Amino acid sequence: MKLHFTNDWLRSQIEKDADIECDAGIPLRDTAPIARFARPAPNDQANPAPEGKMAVLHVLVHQLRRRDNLTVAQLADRIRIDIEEVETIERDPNYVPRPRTMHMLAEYMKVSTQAVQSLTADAIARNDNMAQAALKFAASSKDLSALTNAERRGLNDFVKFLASYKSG
Amino acid sequence: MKALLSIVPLKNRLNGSFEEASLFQGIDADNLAHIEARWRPMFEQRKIEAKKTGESLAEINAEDAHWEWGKKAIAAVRDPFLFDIFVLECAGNTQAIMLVRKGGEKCFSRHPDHLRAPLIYVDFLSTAPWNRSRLVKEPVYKGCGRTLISTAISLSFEEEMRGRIGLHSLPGAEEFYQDQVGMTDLGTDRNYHGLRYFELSISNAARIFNP
Repeated sequence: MKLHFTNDWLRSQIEKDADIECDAGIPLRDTAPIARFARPAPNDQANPAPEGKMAVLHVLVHQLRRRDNLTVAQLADRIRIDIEEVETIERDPNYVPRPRTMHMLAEYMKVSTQAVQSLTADAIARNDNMAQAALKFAASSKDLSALTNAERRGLNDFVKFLASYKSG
Repeated sequence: MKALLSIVPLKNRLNGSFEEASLFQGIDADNLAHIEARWRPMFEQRKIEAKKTGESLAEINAEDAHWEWGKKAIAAVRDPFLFDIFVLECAGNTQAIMLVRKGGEKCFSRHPDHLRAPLIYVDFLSTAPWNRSRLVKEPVYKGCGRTLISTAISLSFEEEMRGRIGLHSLPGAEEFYQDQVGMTDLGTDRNYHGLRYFELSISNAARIFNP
């Protein structure tokens, strides 16, 4: 995420602001409602996905791009995200895209955002059904440089599975 | 996932100097531990003091009913993709935390300039008790609110909402949001513990970082 202000601007605002309180919304007292947001970093190599449970979002995005004859830049433009993020998704199996990116990918694939989220490393590790389907899909994806008929079938079957995916 | 967004300045009121703080998107177990072990005891202690001195819990924004209601409201949202959470760390401590939501019924503008347009809603922006003048005599860091609210505005631009944000200000912070951030006071919200609701309009958002 990009910040739209500079530190110079921030420093001058802090100097100008009156010395008053700024708390808003629910008055946070303990961690009960926010503990769900504290998860181990998915890029933490000390916590890889368990054996037999592999993240496949990177493979899926790459294959979708090949199927639709799109360059990285064209896909990024199509779903309105940065080229660098598409590259990172394809390169790093443990990368978890930001919510808007997952939403745009989901719209492109015509599946739910939850289905896309379920393909990330930390989510796969918690969902046996998805892990099984992902493993089957990944196993059929050997050569990423060209999409064979078998790979195309595997990809289409997997996207169908995603379209019917229900979280929880 | 917790990712460093930027190193930002916070002003140490005690010595008048700016210090480097880390602004993160996401939280981790350390932040939770800070809140439980460092924030919470101070809140509890302040509540005890308030009872002794005859202050109401509302005066120090420590009403249990509001907190219980808020906890349930957040827990009721099942889709974690609706939320983003940001944290400010400085001097080895969690100085402030902000939870925002990007979709759902609260994320529609009430501003007459763009009624029903989507916005980023700030569920809460909380600063550590030692930074709050209602809780301690000599608050430490200044700038936590300015930094986090500017982050929410940035997120709104990133999410193509043109800088629109909305929030319910706690008593004592209304002046900050109206006069200093430039948000519009849309009145008392009877459906939200009687707090005043504020929004940053597109026109004010367009000017805020380019005065």
